Amino acid sequence: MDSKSDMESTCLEVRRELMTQPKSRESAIMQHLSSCNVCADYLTAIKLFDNKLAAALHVEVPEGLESRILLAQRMSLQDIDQGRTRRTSNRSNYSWMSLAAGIVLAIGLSIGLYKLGESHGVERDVLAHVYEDLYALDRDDNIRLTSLNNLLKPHGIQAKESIGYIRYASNCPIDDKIAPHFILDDKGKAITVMYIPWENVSNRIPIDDKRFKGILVGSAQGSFVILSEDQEVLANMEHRVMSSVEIRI
Amino acid sequence: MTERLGQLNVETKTSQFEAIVKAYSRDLYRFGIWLTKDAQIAEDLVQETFLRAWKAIDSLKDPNAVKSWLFTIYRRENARRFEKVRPETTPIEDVNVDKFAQMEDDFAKTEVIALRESLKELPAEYLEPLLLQVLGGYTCEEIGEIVGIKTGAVMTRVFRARKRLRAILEDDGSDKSKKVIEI
Repeated sequence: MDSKSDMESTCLEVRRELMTQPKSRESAIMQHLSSCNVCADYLTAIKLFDNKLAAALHVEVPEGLESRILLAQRMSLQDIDQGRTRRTSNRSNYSWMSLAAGIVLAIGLSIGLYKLGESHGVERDVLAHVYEDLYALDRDDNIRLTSLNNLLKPHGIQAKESIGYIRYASNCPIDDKIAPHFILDDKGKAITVMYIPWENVSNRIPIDDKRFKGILVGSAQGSFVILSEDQEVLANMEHRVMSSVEIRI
Repeated sequence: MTERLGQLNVETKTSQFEAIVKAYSRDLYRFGIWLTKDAQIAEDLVQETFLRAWKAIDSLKDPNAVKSWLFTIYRRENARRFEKVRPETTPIEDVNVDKFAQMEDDFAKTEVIALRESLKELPAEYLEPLLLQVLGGYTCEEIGEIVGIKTGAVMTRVFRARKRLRAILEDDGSDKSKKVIEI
């Protein structure tokens, strides 16, 4: 093999290596590039191509991806903690069962009265949050259904198109836990909806605040708080929310 | 992240995990969207990957291998969905792509669009190593470890993928059938 064909053979090998691994810094490659202008030009073209390839592969990452991942992780931590608590309780609390049975009788009476109109508790937390988060009522972020569902998914629920126009959506702290908070639009009026995954109510509990009217209503899993400053829109809104949300658990 | 994660307490592990999410979730999502061709599935798999990573974080022996570990979990999760039922996917056209804000040159934009179209058509066995190389920044040897094939096979696949894509840009575009050059 003469020196010209040796050179051509080396050029082919170098170009193949550059095509396969453009960032290769092997000393033999670097040495060849320093003495072969054609291959050096080839490397420039490959780098240009790689920039275009990187641009082509660069797609937008959905907003809030990181926080949704971290929320799922926090929820899994919570599940583990609750599991530990349950296991500990099972081991140590059998001796308390007879005492508890007696207490249940007394509590039963209280619950009966409580369900007849007394406050449930969580709606007070939601109202407090809504007052803290009043600026959200003026937001109009035109949230996509996919984005809302990304928020709801870790909580085991999903919304359908019929939920309508979504102004705002976020995960918010309620009672040291995370609850999805979203604001729907009804003819220009803001309707606040909060899904409380850990709250299971069996009946509808009206909320009558000096500014907001609403209800706390249970679903197959968890409960919804629906609030508005306009009582008239509430009946429609309750139907709209409850018929547009599917429980996925 | 030099200390073995499994030896840390929950608070420190959580903070390390947050750093991992911030560092790699975007790369993983971009890898996933080209692999699955569906934005929702890509995100679901990212969520599942990180959740599994969190649950198995104690088993991670080498914190420097976090990124490869995540890509490996992602690939496994993607494969699992085919074990259950073949998923229906929505076209990747629905995905919001960046607006080429830094590309003033119209010709460059056209080339990038042509590349995207070609990437969608690239067979999975060529596409995956290429994604791992360009988005993941891995060498052919590392890709071989993640994908479970020999380095030589990775080199061949990457070479062919690149050659196909380069042919698209070199072609005058008059006849689409000429764009794919078999090697």
